[in-house]
Amino acid sequence: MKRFLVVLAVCLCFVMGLSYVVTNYIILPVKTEVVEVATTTSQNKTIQQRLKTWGYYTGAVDGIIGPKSIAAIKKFQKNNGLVVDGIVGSKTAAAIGITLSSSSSSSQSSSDLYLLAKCVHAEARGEPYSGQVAVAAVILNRVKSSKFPNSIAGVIYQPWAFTSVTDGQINYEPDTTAYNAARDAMNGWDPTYGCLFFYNPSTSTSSWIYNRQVVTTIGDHVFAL
Amino acid sequence: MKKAFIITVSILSCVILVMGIYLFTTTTSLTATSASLENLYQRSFYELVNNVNNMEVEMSKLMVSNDSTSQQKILTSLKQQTSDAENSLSLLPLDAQVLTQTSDFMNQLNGYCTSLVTYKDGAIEGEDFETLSQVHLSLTSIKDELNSIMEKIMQGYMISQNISGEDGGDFTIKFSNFVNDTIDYPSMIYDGPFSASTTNKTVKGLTGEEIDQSEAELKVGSIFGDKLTGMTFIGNTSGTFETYDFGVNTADKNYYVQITKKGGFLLNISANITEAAKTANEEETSTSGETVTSDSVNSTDEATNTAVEIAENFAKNRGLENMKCVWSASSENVCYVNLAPIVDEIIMYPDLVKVKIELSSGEIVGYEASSYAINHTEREDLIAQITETEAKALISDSLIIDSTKLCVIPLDYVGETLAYEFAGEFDNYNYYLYIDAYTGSQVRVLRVIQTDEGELMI
Repeated sequence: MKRFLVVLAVCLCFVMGLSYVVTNYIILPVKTEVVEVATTTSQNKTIQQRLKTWGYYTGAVDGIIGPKSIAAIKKFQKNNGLVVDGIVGSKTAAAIGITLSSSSSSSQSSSDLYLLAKCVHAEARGEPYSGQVAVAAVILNRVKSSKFPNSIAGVIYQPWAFTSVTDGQINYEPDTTAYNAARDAMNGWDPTYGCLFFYNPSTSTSSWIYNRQVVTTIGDHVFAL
Repeated sequence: MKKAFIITVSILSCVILVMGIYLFTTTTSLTATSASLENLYQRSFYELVNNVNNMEVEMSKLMVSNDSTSQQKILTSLKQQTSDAENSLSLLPLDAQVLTQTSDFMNQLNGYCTSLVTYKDGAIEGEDFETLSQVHLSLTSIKDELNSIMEKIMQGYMISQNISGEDGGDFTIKFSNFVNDTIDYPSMIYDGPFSASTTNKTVKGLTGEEIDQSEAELKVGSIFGDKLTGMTFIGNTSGTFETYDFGVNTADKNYYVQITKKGGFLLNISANITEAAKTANEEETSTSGETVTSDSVNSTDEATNTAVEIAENFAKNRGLENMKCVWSASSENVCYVNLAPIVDEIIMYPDLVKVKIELSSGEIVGYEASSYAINHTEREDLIAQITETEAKALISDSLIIDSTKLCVIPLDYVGETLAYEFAGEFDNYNYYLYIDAYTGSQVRVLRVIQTDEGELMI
């Protein structure tokens, strides 16, 4: 009897622990890491001014982070043992001596790029580079098309349009490849020449999609009009 | 025995209590989440119904009004309503395939109204009137169907509880039944946003015989020369362009290359610049000196010039004549160069070719010539009807003009025109202004904005 009760108690504890783990780490696994980056002109000016005083930067203090500023930031990061990425995140900002306020707003085009890169990463990581450009191009073709919403966010968050959005994978931080692919597509690269759909023939369940006119296959994805 | 029993029972009751609290809080937050989702769906649906109801009313008013001012007013309001309806539609939990036709209808109606407001002066008549009365009929049936779903919702129908299942759930079925069967979508013929003429592109720039795969392979070989270490045929693309697609390897990069069947034209090269290559380049530059000096900045300019030269030569070797750099920007280790043909000092912007060059190696890592393939032709009779001075007089005095060029630019939706390009400055911003060289109308204004990746024009 005693042994039975102890076993029962242990089992219950186990089930409770398991359910906690399941709900917190498996069902809701997506916790976005908010990365703060210096974006306002005044912040950029401060950064440039300080880097100039310390001899890293030689250009004009104009609040515009161009190639010269990025080179200077990288140099600074290298000398201070920070991650050399040319981006003033919270650590680099602290080393420069400024704090990044969370209210800093980034420009419209860069937030579109970020969202596009996130969707590319979620939908097509592991695909060849041209396949990732193609996925980004499909999203942009949808924005241009009358059959779909007219903004990047509208297309990406349209209910059930992308499985990676439905299951939350969209919130993983995109890698450089996804960023490059998104940027190329925004610059007009479209290896699919106007496709509006893509699917993976080995996992796709919709029979309707097979009736679309196939344009090309890149990696595991079939692209269709 | 007794003591052990009491301990066990108390542990157990603690466990049950904690579990109970935990379950209760989880359920409460889940209920709140699903309620807020249902609210969002219902709100979108209410707004959609509201918009469609208003559209139908406005449309019927349009049918009976004869005065162009009031028609313009109604069309402007219709434009707003269609765009709102499209927004609400895209928030509903419906499969894209169910929505495409309705979305298409809303967006095209929006574009049609825009073109009627922008390009037509005077009252609506003839064909436009015919089309609008057909649109009114379709709108009426959409309105009726939506309102019948609305009635169900008012009786307690929950959208979020009817969207799962193999066929997409009851809500999807309700929707797809009427959008696909009951409604006759009229075709709106116009030149404007979302019109058929903007999507159906004809390829003008490809000439020559159709080539076979082995000839295409030879073309790829000639592009990469002795750097080529491997080539695989990936497949064909069929659509606007018919191409042979190849995967190409060199010692340190993988490329994706598309060659058109007709004429064996190089359409697209894309390569990913890997993280490793970028870091290698950083190592190289960082050993050159302790601080960033103006020398290295100058060398960036020099590198850009070299990259422009590489891009121009590359296009020339592909058989593209007179290609000159019209825009360039460097970011990180990549230089972006846009090339356009310049013939008799006229820039042909519709034939734009985009090239990406890796600065450290001087290698082409991207090439995109679909605009060239679509638009390039021998343009004849490019003779301006108005002089440069006349065009200049048409520009706002506030703009301080730096330079003037003659160019061919693509029009917003269909076709192209000869135009004067005025680059100028106003209030610390740089602008590009285009004046039609035939009619003198202002066809486009672009403002240059500085971004992390160089200049961007919007």
